[in-house]
Amino acid sequence: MESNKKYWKGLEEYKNTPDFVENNKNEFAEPLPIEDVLNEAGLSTVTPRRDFLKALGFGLGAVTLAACQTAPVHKSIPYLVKPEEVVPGIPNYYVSSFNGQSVLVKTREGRPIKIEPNPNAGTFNCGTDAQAQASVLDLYDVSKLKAPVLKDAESNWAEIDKFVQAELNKAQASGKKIRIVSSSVSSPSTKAVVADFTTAYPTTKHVQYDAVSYTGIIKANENSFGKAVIPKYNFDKADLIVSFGADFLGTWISGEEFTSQYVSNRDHKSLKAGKMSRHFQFEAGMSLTGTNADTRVPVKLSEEGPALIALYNAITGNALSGAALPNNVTADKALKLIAKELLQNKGKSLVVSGSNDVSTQILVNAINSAIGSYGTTIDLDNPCKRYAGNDAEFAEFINEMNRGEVAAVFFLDSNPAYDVANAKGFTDGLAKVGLKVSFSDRKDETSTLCNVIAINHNYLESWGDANAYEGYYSIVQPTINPVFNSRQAEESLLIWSNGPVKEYYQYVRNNWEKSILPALGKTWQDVLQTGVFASALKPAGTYTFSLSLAAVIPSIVNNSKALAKDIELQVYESIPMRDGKHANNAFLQELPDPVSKVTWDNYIALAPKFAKELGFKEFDIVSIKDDKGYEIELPVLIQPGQAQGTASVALGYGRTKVGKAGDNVGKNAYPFVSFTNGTSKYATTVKLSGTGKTEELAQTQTHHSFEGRNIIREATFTEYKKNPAAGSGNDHAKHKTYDLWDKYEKPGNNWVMAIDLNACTGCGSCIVACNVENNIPVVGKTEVRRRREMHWIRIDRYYSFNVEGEGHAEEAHAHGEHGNGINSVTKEKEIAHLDNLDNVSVVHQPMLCQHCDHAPCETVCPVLATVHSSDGLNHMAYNRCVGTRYCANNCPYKVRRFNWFNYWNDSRFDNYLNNEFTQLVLNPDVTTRSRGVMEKCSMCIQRIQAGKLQAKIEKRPLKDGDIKMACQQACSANAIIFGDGNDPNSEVSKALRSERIYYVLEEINVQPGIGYMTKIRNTDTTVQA
Amino acid sequence: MGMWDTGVHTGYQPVQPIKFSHELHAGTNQIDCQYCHAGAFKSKNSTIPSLNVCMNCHKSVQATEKYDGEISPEIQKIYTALGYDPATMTYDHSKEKPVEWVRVHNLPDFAYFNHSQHVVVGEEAIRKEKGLKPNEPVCFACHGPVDTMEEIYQYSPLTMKWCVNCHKDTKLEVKGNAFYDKIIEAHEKIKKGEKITPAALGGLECGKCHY
Repeated sequence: MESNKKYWKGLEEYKNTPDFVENNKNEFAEPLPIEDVLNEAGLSTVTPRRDFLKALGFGLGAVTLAACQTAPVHKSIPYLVKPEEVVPGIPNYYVSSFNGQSVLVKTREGRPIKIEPNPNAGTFNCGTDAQAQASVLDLYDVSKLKAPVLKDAESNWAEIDKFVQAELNKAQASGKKIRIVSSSVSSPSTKAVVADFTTAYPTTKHVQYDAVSYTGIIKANENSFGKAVIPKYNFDKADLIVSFGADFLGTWISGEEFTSQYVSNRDHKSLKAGKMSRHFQFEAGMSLTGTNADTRVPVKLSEEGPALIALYNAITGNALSGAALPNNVTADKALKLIAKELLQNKGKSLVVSGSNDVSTQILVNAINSAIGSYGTTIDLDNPCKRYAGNDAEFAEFINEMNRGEVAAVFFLDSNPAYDVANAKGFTDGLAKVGLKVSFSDRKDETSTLCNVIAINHNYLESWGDANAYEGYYSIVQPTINPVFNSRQAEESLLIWSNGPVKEYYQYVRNNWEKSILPALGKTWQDVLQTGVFASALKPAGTYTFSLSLAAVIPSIVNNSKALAKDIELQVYESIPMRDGKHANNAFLQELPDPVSKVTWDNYIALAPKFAKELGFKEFDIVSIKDDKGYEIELPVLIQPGQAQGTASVALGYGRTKVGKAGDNVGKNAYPFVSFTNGTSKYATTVKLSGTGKTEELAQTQTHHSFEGRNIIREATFTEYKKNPAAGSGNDHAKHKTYDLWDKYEKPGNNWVMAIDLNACTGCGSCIVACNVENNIPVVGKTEVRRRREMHWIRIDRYYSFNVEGEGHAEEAHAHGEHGNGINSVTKEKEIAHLDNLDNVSVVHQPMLCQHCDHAPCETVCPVLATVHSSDGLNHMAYNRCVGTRYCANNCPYKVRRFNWFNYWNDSRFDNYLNNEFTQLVLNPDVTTRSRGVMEKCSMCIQRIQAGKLQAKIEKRPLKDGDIKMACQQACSANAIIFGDGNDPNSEVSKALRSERIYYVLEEINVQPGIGYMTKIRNTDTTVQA
Repeated sequence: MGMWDTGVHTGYQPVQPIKFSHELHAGTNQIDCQYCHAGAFKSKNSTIPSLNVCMNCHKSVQATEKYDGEISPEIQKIYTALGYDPATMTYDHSKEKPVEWVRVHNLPDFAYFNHSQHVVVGEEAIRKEKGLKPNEPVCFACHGPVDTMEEIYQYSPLTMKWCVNCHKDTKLEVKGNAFYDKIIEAHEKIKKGEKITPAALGGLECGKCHY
């Protein structure tokens, strides 16, 4: 349409009047009965189909007519004065830190949109966890306050400063106490600010507590070796790892770092070198770490103590009392064998416990000393500084408040009204405090009880630093101007203490230039470039445990007896929600728990047999009541592998004042935490009773067995050593295959992937990384229940059971149908009939579009919206898709996702993206998909194209490793290897030549582009039940 | 007018908030395109210049000779937007107000286009294909004779057919760019002596532009 008209659009459109925008948003002029269909009425809704079609017809006509004439006017608004370093369309990367881990922040046009690992991060040279990946969304959270609050009313900083300083002077004059309450602070500059504040107000004390505490380890090390620290654990130096309830690959101390260490002894490179560590896990609830163990032995919480005593006795030859495990023969047998192995592997073993009990940790120290761990696998001289919380000090702080001794309190990155067990003691005490300041960014459970909410910056808006390990410093630098009228907490404290330097940037810089940089011989500019500085590790000393265990053992035994009285409840941090601080993050709420695959809820996990005994079925809502009288109702999740007589409930849920995504999701389990012997305990006894109600949990996987099909292939390490191809199916001669399709030529690149099932721990940080990179919508609980989650990559978790007397599950899997008659692969319908589901083996399998060469989706698409490319990818053209969903039905891997709604622009999905502010998190290089189209993993094609273009501009060949997938980057285990299959020297080509490689559903000859490496288990066959 | 032309806006020439003349700047004054549209050589966006770029010249160039000694009202708009007082030569940042240009070339969000791919990597090939004179910038291939446009308008249809035809016809200049060495090597085994176009290297595949 050649046209010289300068305006051919209606005036209302040019002006973008609200009426027009509102009308234009709706495709149909009249409302359609979608709501009725969606609601209870279902398809029997009163509006007949004919009306629907009539409306559709009108809508289509109207749209066609309108389309002939109009297109919206787009405005382009350039910078008035463009910052030199910003080029629209090109990302800038800045180093910063998240929870002490050095990371890179990718920004586009001044907006942080993605977190990536910092390749120079030294100790943290690993991936990033789901929290780090999801943290960009927190920045754009609409539930945050836009201005500081004084006495429940919006205020400004001048008024706040006037009020706080007056109150502080009053407190100073009265001589009463001032307390700064925070979660663990490792930042040297924050510590310096607190010290300055304390100088100005000498009655100040800094109380650190963590919602999930490590006080037990710190106190135990103080007791045993005179060092009140969390040591640096070296899982990479351990050939034998025994964990008692420590989820060290997930939530325990430093999960990502430990994952990378742990996997370095188990991945394809290590296996090639003929080496694989062995890992035993004794635990009650099924943790991520437990699913990865070579041998996992379910033990009750009350048995963990006796089990450790038994292990100590077996190693040292002592005969301490309390070692009896009368009801757990398996554990008893296993411990004796493990003791033998530990002694054979002196100096190459590590025993860890997830307990926060000082006595238990002292016993663990004694065991580690006996097996020579100090100086090798445990390093007390380069300790971890990420957690320094002191439970006793916090308990005393509550007492101080209740005694009326505290005049002012400041809450920094802490929310005790939600996450301490004694919430009532806390809130009662807080009412007696005059000045209550919260630095929270929102009206949360604690800040609503405060008279001042001095809203803090998000970490992406902040200056700061961190000191995760002794001698390991990293910087936090802002990547965006503060969005709201917030002020950094440290700056507020500096202003209130009237120090000489009030600007926090200057303060941090001074602090580094004074105390940190001289020793390292570096400049401030260097810090801003590299982000992290580590001095050389001090030599790790050997420490010998030489104290008496006389006082320790009775305490352990008594704890154990107290727990054994009733149903034992374990409260734990879940991988997605952790301690609940990020509960308003929709990406995390929709991240399935790696084991249960439940989203948007917590639940009570019970072993199948135990649930049957109690008379509960899956999804029955039961009431959980402890002897303090706290009671919550949660749905039951049947969890194979859960120890009999125990139940597990995740912390971090049940927030009531966090925002629209996280409010009232699940129930709060913190009140079940108890405070005994100076530390918080995460185990208690409860009574369970039925309520007669049921609620279906929103699970992304409801089928738990791979039914013996060879999509999962495994072998034992012993078998692997004999034949590296064991279990992979590669040791048999291949059948001749015939093809209906012509072969595709891939003359340039051939993008392929290899996934190491022995490296993947199933943690799920790849899922969140993919969500953020590819603008994947969050659909919410109801839609997940309808199996409509949009994740492009999922991690399938399969159970199989070792039925007593029928040999070993692993062997059977390895042999599959060609097995030697032993076949203990558990079929789904058999699971219900199995009596003993304790000895469960778990496999995690990342599943994403396999980019098949002969893709079944392509042949059924009536509009050629999904087609093959000459570089090995399966393309998906959203604008071509008409939404027949044939492709999804024809995909054998079930990885295609359909947009049932415009999730980013529909008031029914008010989870996160339904506002312009949060939409700033979107990656501008990836289209947001509209309702009615199919989508799936694109193999981060935007990254491939960008990588190729960069090479073209620089006139050089593409190098292996130039292009990294978002999932691959986030993976601490390096389980995902991506590259050009046409380059024989690329990492992925080497990996795909491994004997362990197999292709999922190879037999249907779709020729997938993703190869999987067999799962290898280093089982000790003598330990199996 | 048929359905074919639905959404095709060749000739679109909206009124802009400042009467900026490409004829004067690019034609008469021969200012290089990338002086203002610097992004085109690095980024997917060509970028509309920020006003500090205008001020490089217009701090002194005020066209007073044409307006009886007054500052040109169009140049005055730059000053107003920046809060700049030409008398005192000072900026008042509180009076800043960004300029809302009306976007002329609207590619749909689902189509990815990268300027640097075309004006840096593909420059030589596009020049040859479109028969541009040596003194004409490569930009003219799609944007037309910008140096004669008093007011800018959309020269090319920006339809997919238009993209595709060019990708089918243009012979790539792969010599001297090591990126293509490996690709071509593999390729030539199959297509001996054939013309290598973006299409031959997979440039017509959906996912190359739609993601």
